[in-house]
Amino acid sequence: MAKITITIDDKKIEANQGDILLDICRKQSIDIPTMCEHSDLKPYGVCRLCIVEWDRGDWSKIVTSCNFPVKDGQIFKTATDKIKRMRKMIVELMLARSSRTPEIIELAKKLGVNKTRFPKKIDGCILCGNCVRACSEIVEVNAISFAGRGPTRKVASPFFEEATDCIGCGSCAYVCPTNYILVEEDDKTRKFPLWKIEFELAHCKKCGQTIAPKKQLDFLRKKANLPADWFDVCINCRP
Amino acid sequence: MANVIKKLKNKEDLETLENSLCASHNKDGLLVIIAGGTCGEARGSKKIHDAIESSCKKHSDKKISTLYTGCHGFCQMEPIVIVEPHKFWYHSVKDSDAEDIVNSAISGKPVEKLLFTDEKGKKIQIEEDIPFYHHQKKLLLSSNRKLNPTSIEDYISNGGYAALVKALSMKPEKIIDEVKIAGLRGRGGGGFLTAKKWETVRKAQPGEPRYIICNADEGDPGAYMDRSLLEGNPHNILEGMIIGAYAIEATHGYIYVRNEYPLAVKNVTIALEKARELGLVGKNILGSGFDFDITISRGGGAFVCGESTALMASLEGKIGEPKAKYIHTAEYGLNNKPSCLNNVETWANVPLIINNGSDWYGKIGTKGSKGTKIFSLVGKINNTGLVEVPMGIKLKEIIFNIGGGIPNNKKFKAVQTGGPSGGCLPESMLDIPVDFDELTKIGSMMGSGGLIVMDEDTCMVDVARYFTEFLTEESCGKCTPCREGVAQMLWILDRICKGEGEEGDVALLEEMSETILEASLCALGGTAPNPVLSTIKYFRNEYIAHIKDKRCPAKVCKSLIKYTVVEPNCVGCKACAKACPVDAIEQTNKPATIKGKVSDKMKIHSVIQNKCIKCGMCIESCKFDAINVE
Repeated sequence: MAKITITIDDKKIEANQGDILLDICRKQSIDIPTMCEHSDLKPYGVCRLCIVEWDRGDWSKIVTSCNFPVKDGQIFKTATDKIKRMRKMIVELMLARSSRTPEIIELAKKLGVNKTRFPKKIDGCILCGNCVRACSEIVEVNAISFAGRGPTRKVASPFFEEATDCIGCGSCAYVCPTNYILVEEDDKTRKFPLWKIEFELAHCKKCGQTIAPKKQLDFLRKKANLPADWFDVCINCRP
Repeated sequence: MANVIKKLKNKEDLETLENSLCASHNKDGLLVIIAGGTCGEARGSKKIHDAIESSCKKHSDKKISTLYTGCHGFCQMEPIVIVEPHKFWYHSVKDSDAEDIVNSAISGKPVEKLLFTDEKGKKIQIEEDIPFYHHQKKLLLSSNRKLNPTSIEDYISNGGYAALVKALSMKPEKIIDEVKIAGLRGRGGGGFLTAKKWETVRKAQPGEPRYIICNADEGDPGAYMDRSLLEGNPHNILEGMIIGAYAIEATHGYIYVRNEYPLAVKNVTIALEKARELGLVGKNILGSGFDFDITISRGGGAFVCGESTALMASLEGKIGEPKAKYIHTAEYGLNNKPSCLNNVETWANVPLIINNGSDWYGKIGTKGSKGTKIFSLVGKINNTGLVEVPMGIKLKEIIFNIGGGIPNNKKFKAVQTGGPSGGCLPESMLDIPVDFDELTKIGSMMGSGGLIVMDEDTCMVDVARYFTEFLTEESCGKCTPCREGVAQMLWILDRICKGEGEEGDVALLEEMSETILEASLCALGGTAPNPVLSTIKYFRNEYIAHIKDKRCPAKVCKSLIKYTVVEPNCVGCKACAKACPVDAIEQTNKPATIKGKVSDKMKIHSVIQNKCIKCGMCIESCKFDAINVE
């Protein structure tokens, strides 16, 4: 990998050709807000909060740092007045959509936005796509996706009916930045009201502790070619 | 005429075929051409064609041929019929005119009532003399009237695929050089230097397979240039694509055409099949060793799929959504392979450049914008249709010399160029030459070529609201600035048009526009504020009237206008009351004055304001100018 030099906020920094700008900024302790970014997922670049200015000489281009591969000699500015203005506008728009979501209210406050001039809705989903991407890239079952276009876009199970490919692992809820995906669980069942599905839970034959949904364990057994009784006991009770 | 056409193994086979087709073609014979593009078919051209064919059969001794073509461009005047060799140009034809038309071919005397009449009342017999056509430079569209789009023989006998033969004898780099010197720029709206894109794709590593794509997803409201090219002369586009593929060394091509263009889909599918049969597409094209085939894919009805990365996602079977362009599709495009996407009109220009040379092409247009551009001239204009003009022509010339000006003696107000991505330009800008860079300089853009003309009765705030509503619905919804921002701009514009505008609304629109313009993921959001910003820039007074005075100067916004009876003119005939669909007109006690005398029977009528839906039926029915909009 070719070693290159780029400039961020007037400071010269060494990097590798093709490194992602956001990663470089984080290593330099430059604070860049994000909402759709997750260390385990491929960058999606949709919340647009991570925008920075790419100085092209006589003009500058606004780019998202989370998916920008750097090249030698490029110059970036992460906290210009323009960037601050735009980040504020973006979070003000998000605040209108998700007016009661704590994570958005907190982010807005941090960026200096305390109210929104737009009509308020109460939609905890910010359409960051983390859940869809986790289900696709990590779990690889593609049980959920996006439905609809534009303002009617939603994350959904196929046809808003039972997400039949779902294995109940809960990765979607795990990566959700606004805790929007509700998981209801008791001793016997794990429910995902959003995906219209529920699962029977498997318990350790020895200590009785809940392990995971039976369907999830079946999936893992098949995928990793494990013996049929592999998940009969929990990790603590395994010999 | 057709005997079975055999596969063409080399360029000599093509020449032989062309010669035999030309030989059997009676150049001086009687010919009746019927325009059958979507515009013509919508007005009955199929029936007219059938009627003319029957009539010709009755005069079989005169050996009159018919030719059913695509759109000729003067859509306002459809159905259009031309009689050769006399060159009689007939418009607004009915199927009952068939016999007269055929007789005019035989006699050499035109059917007067079907001829074009200019504004002075003079009859014009031939196409070249009609002002609409006279000022155009139809390098591309002129072919539409010479051939049946479903006939590959017609295309070949008109010199079709000669450019391909020439290209196959050139080195790929030389072809790209020619296109570079010619200065061809993308006709889809981006205006990017075509040769530069071809070069990037050709040089991309790792390099295989390479794809070329024809973007026929034409989505701008009011734009239908690509439709006319694709349905009227599909082989032109195929030839351009094969040449491009050869130059880029691509192995497969895609035509992504919107499903809402059924005639274009049908004709390009037939054209592709025939080209394959003849070996012009497929393996070892004309014996050159070059393999290339094409797949036709139909869009599912999303404006955003006209954006190149969204189009490629759709081709891959994924959701039609754009993605970041930091990684260029020229290197990592369709299936993550080097892909060259160009617009229909861009591909159509390629055979022209190869046939005539870059020097010839470079002499047309301006320094920065070479060649011609096809525009769809629509809206408040006398001559609605498709016009092909050299780059550099002034907007004024297109609207007044070719377009014939504004109907009903109304005053020109603005012209929208570039569709939802472009801006509205006022009268003061009409001297601007049509040129990629000149239009961008003044806050609009060439776009794909839509030109929507507006007059004094158009409300510019409503225009901004219309385009913003369109974009809100068509946004893919992926990124925050577009999905949330454009929808909120619509919320503000809706309020303003309803009379609920507030001080600070215009400033808020301007503030939001900066973020939506620069932080959106793709050009849909990235250009969405243009109609809003350009109307605020040139028609700010209309915004202020709506917000401060709660008044719509153009009398369009229903919540801000009132229909009232002009009492001195009302004769009490009740025509308006009968026409009103919601019973919003009632009789008063006041006697009407008719021809100076107070009537003892007839009473003045009046509009019940809270029932009136401002449909205008009363105005249409009143013969006494007694209803006014204020």
